Amino acid sequence: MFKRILVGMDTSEAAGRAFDVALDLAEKYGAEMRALFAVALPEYGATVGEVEEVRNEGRKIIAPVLEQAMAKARRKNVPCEARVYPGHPAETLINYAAQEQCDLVVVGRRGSSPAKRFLLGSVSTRVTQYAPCHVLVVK
Amino acid sequence: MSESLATLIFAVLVVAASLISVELAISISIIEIVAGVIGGNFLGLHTVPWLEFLASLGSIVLTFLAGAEVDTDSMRKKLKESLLIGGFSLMVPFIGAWAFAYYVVHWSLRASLIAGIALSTTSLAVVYAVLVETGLNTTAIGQIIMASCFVTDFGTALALNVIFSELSWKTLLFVVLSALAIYLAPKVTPWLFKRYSERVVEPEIKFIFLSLFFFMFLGAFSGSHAVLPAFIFGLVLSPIFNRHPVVQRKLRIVAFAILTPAFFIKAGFSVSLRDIYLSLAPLVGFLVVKLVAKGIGVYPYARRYVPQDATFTTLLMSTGLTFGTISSTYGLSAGIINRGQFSVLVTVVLLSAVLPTFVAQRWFQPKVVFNGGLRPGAVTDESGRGKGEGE
Ligand SMILES: Nc1ncnc2c1ncn2[C@@H]1O[C@H](COP(=O)(O)OP(=O)(O)O)[C@@H](O)[C@H]1O
Ligand SMILES: [Mg+2]
Repeated sequence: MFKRILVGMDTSEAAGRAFDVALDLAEKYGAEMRALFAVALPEYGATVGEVEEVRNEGRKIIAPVLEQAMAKARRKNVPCEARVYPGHPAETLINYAAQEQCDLVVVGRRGSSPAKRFLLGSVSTRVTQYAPCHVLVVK
Repeated sequence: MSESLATLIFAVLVVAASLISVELAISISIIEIVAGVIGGNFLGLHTVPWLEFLASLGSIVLTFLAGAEVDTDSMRKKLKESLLIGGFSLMVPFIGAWAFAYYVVHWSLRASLIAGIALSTTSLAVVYAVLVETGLNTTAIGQIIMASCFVTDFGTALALNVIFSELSWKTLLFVVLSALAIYLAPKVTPWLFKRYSERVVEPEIKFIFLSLFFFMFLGAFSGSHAVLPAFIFGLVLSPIFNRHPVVQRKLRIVAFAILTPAFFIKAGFSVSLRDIYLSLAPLVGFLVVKLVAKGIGVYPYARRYVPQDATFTTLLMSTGLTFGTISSTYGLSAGIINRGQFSVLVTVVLLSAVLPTFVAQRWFQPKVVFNGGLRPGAVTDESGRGKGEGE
């Protein structure tokens, strides 16, 4: 059923739960995994430095989360690769799933603050709407 | 309102703006300008002397950073293309906005020149974020676009200095001493950075500020402006800077924590919403002129040098923010433009940061390619992404 499962990772607990569910599925189906974090760059920046710093900070913040996730996958012998890309989270997940032929995207729910959801939209809703494959929203 | 209360409210705005920026992933500068507009128009805030000073220092530091961010290698590699695209991207809007200001809305000659400069800039930072997201920053197309932005930035700094300086012995002294400082800087700084960049006393950061204060002094002394020397100073230091990320980061911390907020919030303070409301027609006119002129200036060359993404390139080159705000602020503080004119120009600059970027990303974005040179077990980043090196 599933050969390549993509998980949207951020630092929220919801994303951690999403990863666990994805890992469980991957183990059962013999699928491989991709854990992807998208660093949202500041739109309309005034200095290149601002963009660079945000990008570096993003990588730094997510690194331990991804390493922990990968360690979990290793313990279950599930092949898993981590990716960090600059870009809008939902857009990046959707594009990546399409290009890398993922057959399931797993995301959490309620990772973001109400203000963010209002302005950026909910990642899980967008992904559910526009992903080219099945989507699992973990609550 | 007392000065200490104004200071306190200013500090609250600075913190609030930074929280909002992080939460919404929108550039801090835009939020700071907006915070300034709110503070100035609704909270009854006005600028205080120390804010004026920090803001003018902020504009020089921003200029220096813009120079230091130039990737001199890709500049050299794409010199012809970037001179053509960047040159026309500067000249056509300059003439367009100047003519519109002078002949249509009847601003004074000098005010019209400020309008020309402020609306001919291109925002490298706005462009940069989009290029990084699409992975284009490492490709030939990306390098051409970025190098063209540098050319435009440089042209803006040059124009501000040349057009508004008088020919006198003081100006001559300004040129000679600035040139000397710029000549000596790359000889002194590598040693300074190497020996001191790990010290918490930060002599190397202080040295950079010393140099910038020197240019500001010369600018004030000669009735000229420190923008050009600060930009060139950054430019000659950029290779050294890139080798010392620690110094670069420290300078950014100082700049982003106190100087750039002062600059952008102060710019916001000076924007009058009433004046914008009263000048809606010229405002729209300026915006249209800027966008159309950028199209005329950039599109033909974009067609030649980046045929696949000509519209995308043109839209990105139409963005403006930092140098547009710096030029307008210079015009206001030198008494060349009034508050109403300043409000119109800054609003047009802000809109030109947002609108073309939005359209470019929404409808003309080149396809993002994730060619993941997969490294199992490793946390890879975007280095494997992009369209390849081009040529
Ligand atoms: N920057 C990101 N990169 C990758 N995935 C993300 C990112 N942000 C959020 N996600 C995924 O989307 C899920 C939902 O996030 P979010 O939009 O913050 O909450 P909600 O959809 O409930 O509003 C997260 O649990 C995570 O799986
Ligand atoms: Mg974007």
